[in-house]
Amino acid sequence: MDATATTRRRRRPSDAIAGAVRDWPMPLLLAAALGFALGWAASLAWSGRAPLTLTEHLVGTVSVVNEDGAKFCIEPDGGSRQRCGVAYQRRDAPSLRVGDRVTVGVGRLRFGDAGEEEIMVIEAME
Amino acid sequence: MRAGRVFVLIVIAFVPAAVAGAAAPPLKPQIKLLNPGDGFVPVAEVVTPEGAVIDTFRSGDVTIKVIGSPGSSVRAQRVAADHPGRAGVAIELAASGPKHLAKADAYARSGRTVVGDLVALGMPEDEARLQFGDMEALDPEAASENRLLASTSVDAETLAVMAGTTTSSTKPWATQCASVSYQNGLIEGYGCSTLYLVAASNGDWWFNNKYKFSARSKDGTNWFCFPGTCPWRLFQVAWSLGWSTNNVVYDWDPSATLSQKECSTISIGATYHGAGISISGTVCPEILQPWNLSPRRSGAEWQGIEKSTAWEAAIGIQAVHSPPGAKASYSSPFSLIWARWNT
Repeated sequence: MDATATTRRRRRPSDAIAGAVRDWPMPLLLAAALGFALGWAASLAWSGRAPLTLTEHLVGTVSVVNEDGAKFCIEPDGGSRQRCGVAYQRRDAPSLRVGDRVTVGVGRLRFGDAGEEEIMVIEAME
Repeated sequence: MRAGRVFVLIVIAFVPAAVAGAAAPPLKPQIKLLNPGDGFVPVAEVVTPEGAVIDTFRSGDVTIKVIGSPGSSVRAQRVAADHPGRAGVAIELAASGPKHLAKADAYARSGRTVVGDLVALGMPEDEARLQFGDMEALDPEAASENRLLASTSVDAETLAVMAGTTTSSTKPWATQCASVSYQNGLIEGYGCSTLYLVAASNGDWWFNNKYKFSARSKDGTNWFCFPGTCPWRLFQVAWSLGWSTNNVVYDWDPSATLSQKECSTISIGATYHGAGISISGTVCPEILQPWNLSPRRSGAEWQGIEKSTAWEAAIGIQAVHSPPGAKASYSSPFSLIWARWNT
């Protein structure tokens, strides 16, 4: 008996999966692959076409507000650059004022295929 | 003796040449350079037939030209030099206007126009008309004059001033324009602020203003280049308009970051204090966003890495209340930054 004949090869996990899949009936295999591909495509399409996606959250102090309180700028804590946008908040919420402490959700609102507009949702106000 | 005569002849021969070749006294421009120690020096001055002054300032391979009234000022410095592969300028034009209704049409009477000023700064006339023609009227996209005269915000005194002159407040009250050139126009930019007095009652004045800064690099993109030799591409084009103490910028646009996937014409319009104002320009990827905002200043900024040699524009509008006691003093800070492609 030579050494190669007595050495028992350890099965790798990928071999185990391949072996298991090999035992599946072909129609089931095709259906699983098709379902996976469709799900992947649908998730891509959904995330790319969602009308509004919140991408980050900022905590900071309001530094500028326009006349009707709809437009404002925030100086984020930590010293990063001033961010400005249109404020989206509850109808009964008080108007923003310079010096207010706010937590803001920053989102991107799609318009057509040409681009996106950044909006700021006022999540909390002190 | 003979040697002495020869020496005298040589001296006489060289005196006129020495006088002619002597360094000219430093130019004292009528548009004052506020920070002469930051690299820019005045190199030329021209007075236009309309009485405006064009002063040229240079720092190495950057040339800026500003047009304005005698007594206005400019602050200029090179920026971003500490960032490898990036360079640019930060400039601020400042001026003050008389806050007297009797002089409110002084600019309009002077015969100056935005397009005329830009042509005087070196912009080709067809390009100036195409890109900045909409700066010469308050609301080119609407019948603004009718709307303004019908507005209840204009009091009898203002209307009387308008009626007594050949102009109306749809003509600018004042403008500020400048040009920037790097390496003899390899990168060039032209920008203006246009101020419109839309209502006034004694010292209580209301302005609707617009600004546009358009620039391009003619240093076309290479598909390959070695670091340090890559073409210069625009990175930031930004313009703002600010006011002196006690004035209030009470509204502005753009008010949020706009991401562009492709170049397209963007129009911004609003009605402030009963008067419509609009502006438009071609905005390319990546973004147009508010810039340099404070309670007395607003601005717009384009940022991206340009892919062609097309013009990149930053555009915006603002509404200003200048209450009694506040001076009609304003300034246009702007910035142009370029970067090596692929850095």
